[in-house]
Amino acid sequence: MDVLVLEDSQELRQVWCDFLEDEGHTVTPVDNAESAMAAMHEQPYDLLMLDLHLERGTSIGVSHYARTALPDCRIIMITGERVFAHGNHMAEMPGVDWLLRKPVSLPDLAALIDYAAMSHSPKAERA
Amino acid sequence: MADVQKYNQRKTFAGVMGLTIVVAAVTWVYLNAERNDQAIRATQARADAFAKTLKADLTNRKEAAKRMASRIAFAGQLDTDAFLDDAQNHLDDMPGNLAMSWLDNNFIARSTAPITNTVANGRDISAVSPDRRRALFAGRDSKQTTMTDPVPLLNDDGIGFLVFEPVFNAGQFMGGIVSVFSVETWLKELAPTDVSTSLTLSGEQIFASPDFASNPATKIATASAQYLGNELNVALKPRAAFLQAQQTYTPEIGAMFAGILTLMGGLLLLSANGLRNARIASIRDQDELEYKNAQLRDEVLYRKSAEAAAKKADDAKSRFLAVMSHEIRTPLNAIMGMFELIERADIPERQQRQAVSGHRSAERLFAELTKVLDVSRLDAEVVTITPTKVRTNLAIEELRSQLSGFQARAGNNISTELTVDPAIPESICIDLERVSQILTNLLDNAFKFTESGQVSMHIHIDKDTDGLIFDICDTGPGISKSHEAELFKRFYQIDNGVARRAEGSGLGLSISKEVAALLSGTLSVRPNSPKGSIFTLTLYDWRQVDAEIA
Repeated sequence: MDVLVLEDSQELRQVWCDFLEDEGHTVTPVDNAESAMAAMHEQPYDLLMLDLHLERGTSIGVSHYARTALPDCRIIMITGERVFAHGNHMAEMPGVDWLLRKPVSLPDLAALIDYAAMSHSPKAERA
Repeated sequence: MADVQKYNQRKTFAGVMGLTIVVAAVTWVYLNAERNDQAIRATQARADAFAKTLKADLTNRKEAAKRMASRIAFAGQLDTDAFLDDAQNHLDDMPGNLAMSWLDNNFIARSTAPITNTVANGRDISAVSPDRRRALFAGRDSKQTTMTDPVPLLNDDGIGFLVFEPVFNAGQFMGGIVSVFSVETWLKELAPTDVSTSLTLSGEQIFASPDFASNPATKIATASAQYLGNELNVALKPRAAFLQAQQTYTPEIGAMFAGILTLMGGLLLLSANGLRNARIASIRDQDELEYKNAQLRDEVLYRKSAEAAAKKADDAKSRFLAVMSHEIRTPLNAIMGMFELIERADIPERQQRQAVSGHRSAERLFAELTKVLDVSRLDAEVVTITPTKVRTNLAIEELRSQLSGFQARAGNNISTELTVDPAIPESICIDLERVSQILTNLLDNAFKFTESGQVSMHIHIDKDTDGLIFDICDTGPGISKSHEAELFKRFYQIDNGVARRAEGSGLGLSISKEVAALLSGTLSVRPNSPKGSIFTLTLYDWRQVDAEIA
């Protein structure tokens, strides 16, 4: 899959990219929301991995944009805080498919990405 | 202060009442004295008038007798029929005269009117009594009308007196006309009825009303009146009807009015004084109230400011903790992720073990940092509890997964069991994340301190308290009574030498207990049988069903 990784921590961004490449995916790393949206203009992605809280703002807007720009794309949101602890992220970020809390173990992430790849389908059907 | 004011008010009121009574009493005394004086004056006037009336009456009678005597004197002889007619007319016109007689020059009665009165005819009237003789002889000798003192009348006609009118013709005494007065009959017509009357003639009481002696009123006497050489005295005692007729006002009513006016005046003064004092007090109270209001306003402003500052501080704490959580988790995720990547790489076994060791250390570090963050949140009171409606079977499955995960890490030495009370309804209302946090900590401890045996979880409802109970049972070494009391305190750890991973900050149980309290529940421990421990989480507010479904 073509994966866009938005993470403002360089080290953690490196971990995601290395991991995804080891898994055989094509990865585009970015560190801010503007770059993410510019990248989505360039090509369609199959999967977005978004860090919720960025150095400047959040990636909620990116998820909203992706919902309309890339309706077939799956979105994994990753957060280091206790927000949306009861699964109510859908109200704020209806385009996000999964919300994970750091630290995310790589085996768990691998299983989720495999599932995303298998169930890749247009969002209209899921709704 | 209030007591002193009340005392002064009572004293002033008592003074006003006292003054009222004094004024009323003085007014009564004065008015009563006036009334008495008025009665006396009226009685005096009446007595004087009565005396004048009597004298005038006597004078009229005397003049009438004189005219009769003049006619006889002019005629030179008595015309008996004419005399009797005149006398009868006189008697008819002037009640009180009992009889009228003609006495000859020897004072022998020759004709008497009324003609039915025959007791005197033919008698020497001068011989009847010395008083008669004196008066008759004095009249003959003085040629003036004379009058006897009070004498008993002939024929038992009571007390009376005689008035003698001598008749002379050419200087010769012919005789005279005697008018006989019956006091009783005379005064019956003239005496006033509204006073008790006493008549004294020449010092002798000739008439007295029946109640004169018993009448307690003041006796008012006239000055002596001279009549035909006799002293006539009238004395009156007013009767109640007379006094009442004279009364134009009642001293009692006057005193009452005076008292009422005094009381009203006093009360007005009191009221005016009270109003003045009240006004002064009101102004003073108003000033004090404004001062208190100003103080209150300042207090409110201060508290609002303090509240805002506290809220700001709380918000700052929340933001800080949120940022710290993010700042800790992100690099730890990077560290753990790196170790995982290294573990997956094709590297020598030695470096493989080093990567595994680094990864575990990072995991432990993360676990303890999470606890520190939790303690900070609890201390900052920014931990929120959000109960939601949870499907029981899904919650159980999550717990079952946790239990399986722990067992997988522990190995085959430890078996697990999970039992669920079928009486638990399909949905329960809990903060699943917080409950899971507590149970995860309890399971972690159970597996940490159990070398072999079983770790089990039993979920059931307490029939007595309706609490939802989670029992975590292990077959480890157990906890002595002395440790039980300290177990849930921060940083407390049991050093029993058999823990496989005895590391840790000692915060887990204290955090679990504090979070249980926030969930309106309890966390406790008791010995398991035959060995080990049972940690029990009890939730009480789990049946609310109006929350959203999580």
